[in-house]
Amino acid sequence: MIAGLLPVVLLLTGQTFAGLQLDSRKPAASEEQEPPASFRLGMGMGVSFVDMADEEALEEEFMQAGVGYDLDYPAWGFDIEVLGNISDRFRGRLGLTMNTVSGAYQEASASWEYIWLGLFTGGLAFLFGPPSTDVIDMSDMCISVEATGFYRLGGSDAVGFYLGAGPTYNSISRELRSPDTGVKGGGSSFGVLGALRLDQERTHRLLGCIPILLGVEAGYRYCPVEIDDEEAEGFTVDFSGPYIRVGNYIGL
Amino acid sequence: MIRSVPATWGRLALAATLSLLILACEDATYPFQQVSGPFDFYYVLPDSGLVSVTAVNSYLVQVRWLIENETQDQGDHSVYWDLLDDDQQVIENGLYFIRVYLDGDKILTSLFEVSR
Repeated sequence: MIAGLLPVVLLLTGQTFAGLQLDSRKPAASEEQEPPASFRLGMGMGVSFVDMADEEALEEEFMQAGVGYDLDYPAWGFDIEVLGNISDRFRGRLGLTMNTVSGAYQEASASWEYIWLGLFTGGLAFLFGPPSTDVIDMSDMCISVEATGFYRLGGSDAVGFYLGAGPTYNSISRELRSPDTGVKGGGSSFGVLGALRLDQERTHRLLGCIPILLGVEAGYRYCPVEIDDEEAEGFTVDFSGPYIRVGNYIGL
Repeated sequence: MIRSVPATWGRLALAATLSLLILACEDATYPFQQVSGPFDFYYVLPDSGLVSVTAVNSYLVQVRWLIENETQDQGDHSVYWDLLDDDQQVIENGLYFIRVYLDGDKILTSLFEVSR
């Protein structure tokens, strides 16, 4: 009876027969399984299909003025996050996310460096054309702190499927540069997000030692932020929209 | 003679390439006007009608009525902007659009970079 329970105990404690030197057999597949991770720390990348209505209006204004200004979609993001099991059913996530959107009007420029490079490379550099420089350059950045609670909808021992929501705090910065000027602005506000998550529940060992887990999250965030500047009068940098992100974590 | 022909062509090609590149290195001409002080803005009306001209900043906020609902004839016109806003304050450096409306429809948008 005790011998029968031993594999279960060892499985839960994460030890092998070989580690206890009770049995020199190679562990079976079931014995190699890692215990579920209750805490994970990691980073991820994501893409957001953001609203940016005011930035689109500015793009339209540039186009009407005969300036080929392009807003670069979608928004790409990077995040650092911590996930922890609150109970069997609930999981919490705390994340620091950075998203960016840029826009530019570019012109080809043949600088002296380009000419010299072309001459020194026997004309090879000329084949690729002159480099482009940003005449007008806009960059929007949003840094968000996200606290999300997730409820487990289902899944298996291997993966869990979660539904969650939570508040966000968003701080944005905006800069519009032209050849001789630069206009900066910023602001902050609270927002919310709702998301679905698919989390790997059992670690796999990278290089035989690093316990790695994967997770995918898709959702919608609402986080419009008005620029504080008096001149802006309600100009909103709006990173609201559907998003998807993929993260990899170290399970602890 | 046989060798000099390719050499001549080679020199010509090099000279042409350098000339083009040097021309390209001249001061850039942007599709907008750079201004450092008060200036006259010129525009053409395709028809006679009620005209408004406004200046807006890069947040698309109107900073100045340059002409407000004035009847003007078809043809060339100009308006003076002293780079002040409606409160007679000096505007900040940056990008500004001037919009021309004819009978309520926007017919022209021009971009200006204001830097002092």
